[in-house]
Amino acid sequence: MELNVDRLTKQYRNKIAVDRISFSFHEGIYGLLGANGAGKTTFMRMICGILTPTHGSVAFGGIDVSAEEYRAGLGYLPQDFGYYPNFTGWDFLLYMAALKGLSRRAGAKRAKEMLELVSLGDVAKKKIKTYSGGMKQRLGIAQALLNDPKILVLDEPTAGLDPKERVRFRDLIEQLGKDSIVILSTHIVSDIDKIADTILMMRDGQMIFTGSRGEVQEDLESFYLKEFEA
Amino acid sequence: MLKNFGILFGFEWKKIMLRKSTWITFAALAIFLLFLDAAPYFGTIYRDGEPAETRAQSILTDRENGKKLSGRSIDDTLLAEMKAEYQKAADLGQEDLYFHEGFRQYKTVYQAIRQFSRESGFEPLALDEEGLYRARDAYLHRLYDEFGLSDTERTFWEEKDKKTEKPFVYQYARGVEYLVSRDGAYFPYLLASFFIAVCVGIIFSEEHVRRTDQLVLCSRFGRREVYFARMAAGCALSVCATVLLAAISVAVNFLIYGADGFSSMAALYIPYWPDTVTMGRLLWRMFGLLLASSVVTSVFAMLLSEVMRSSIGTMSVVIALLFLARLIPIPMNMRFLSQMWSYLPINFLKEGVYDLRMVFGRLTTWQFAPVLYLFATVVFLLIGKRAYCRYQVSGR
Repeated sequence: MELNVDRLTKQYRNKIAVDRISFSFHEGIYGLLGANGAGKTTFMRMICGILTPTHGSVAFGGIDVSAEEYRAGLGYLPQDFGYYPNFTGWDFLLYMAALKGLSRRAGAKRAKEMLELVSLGDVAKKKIKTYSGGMKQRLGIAQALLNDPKILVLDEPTAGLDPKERVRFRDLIEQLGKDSIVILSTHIVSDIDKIADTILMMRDGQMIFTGSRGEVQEDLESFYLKEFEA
Repeated sequence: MLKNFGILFGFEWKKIMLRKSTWITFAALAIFLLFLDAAPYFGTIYRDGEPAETRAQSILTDRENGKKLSGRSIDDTLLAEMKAEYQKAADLGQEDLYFHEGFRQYKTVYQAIRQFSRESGFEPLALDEEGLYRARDAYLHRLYDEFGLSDTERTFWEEKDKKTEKPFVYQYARGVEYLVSRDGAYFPYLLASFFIAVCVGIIFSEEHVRRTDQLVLCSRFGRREVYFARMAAGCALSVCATVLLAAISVAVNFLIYGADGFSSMAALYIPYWPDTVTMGRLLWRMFGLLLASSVVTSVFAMLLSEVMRSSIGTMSVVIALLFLARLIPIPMNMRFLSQMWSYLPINFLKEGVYDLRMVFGRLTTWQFAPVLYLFATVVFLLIGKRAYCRYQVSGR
């Protein structure tokens, strides 16, 4: 199934944050690059249905972004993701599992799997407020994966992760990209360089480059800088 | 059908209960109410500058005396006995009647009938049975005039009053009397409202402040299901807090004054409400209205919390509205406005509940208030749902 973004536009009073972007996403990893204020987060929020576009549409397999069925197949890790400090990691994942439509039993099973996956199993019963930044980020990744999403939107997912964790995370994303659409936004070009099948670049709300990693003939970082200086 | 509602409700409840502010606020308000209700029990009564007895002893004596008279009709015989004791006290030159042992036996009866006889310009001890009930009629008619009742309303209340059995049969009911009086449900509600402003008004705004809203809103059941689960958790918390505050008030009053008089006629103790209802039934009604008021207030606070996305803002508006409602008097002659104003929960539980004006010419306050509060709750719920579901995560 494909995720269709059609003439997607978000306009605030004096500023066009996202300007008529059309694109079809298929299974695979999409690396979204762009400077601060380029419109990446706005674009991703519209894909997640938490920001209504001024114009245009987002649909997955013909299901509109506003539908419950669309959200059922969505996983999202926001850049500034919030948490409940008094919840334990375990509680948090069970709550998110219930929100994502999993039954109590399925939620518990999946939460356990995800905690092991992100190496938080041993601190699952500790309150989130005691977690380090990296642990919170891993918990965020775990919640995004709970419902085995068909669309996974990750905004700066590797922020706060140590090098070892980043490598593990990249491997995980690579696996997920085989069956799902993974849209990954980051400032760390090397993360995208290693795993993205398709590179997307945004500037001033517009998509200035879309192409496979193979289409970029040179080093991605140099290409990225060149595109932004143009 | 709300899927996963039970699980989501459980987690919303857990979020609230894990907050220290919930427990601290409730404990502070509960202690305050405890002192407020228990205050009359403490202290000393002075006579001629000398301590005569403790308030606790005084309450106990009145309670025992009142119970001795329970079951007696307030008729010529009882009035004559009371007058005779009064005369003895007067002959002794005793200024404070309540310190005269003989008269003191009749103190609780005297206090009950004094309410309406003095309001209509009569000294109860100067009246015989017929005069006493005439004084009561005069008092009621004065009330009908003050409320500006229509002929239909007057007829309704006159018919109701005719059905009350006279002479009244006295039963000691001091504990219940306070609870169904104009202060009985008012203070628990006032304190419950503070609790709602502080602890329930935070429920929706906190999600925006903590930025958990974006995770919730993009999840499958993050709209309708979680909205109703959160609303239900907020209402459940408000109801629990209100029940516990009311329980404190009931327990303290029953401990101090006794739990007697449930089957006595309310018309004797609540003379401004000419109804055949018993004190026990009135207490249950009051409790029901207290809970309904608490629910409507909590839904309103949560609506504000979602719209304003600020817990301080929500708290300020709820508390300001409570004060404004009490501070702004609307004259009775502006009937529609003043009647509407009297249905604000804080005004309603203080005095609106005994407003003799009817709605649509047929519904008494007891009948209309639950319907109105249910309607308001549904309206607030729907406005809140619209605001919640249309919320846009932007500008962070």
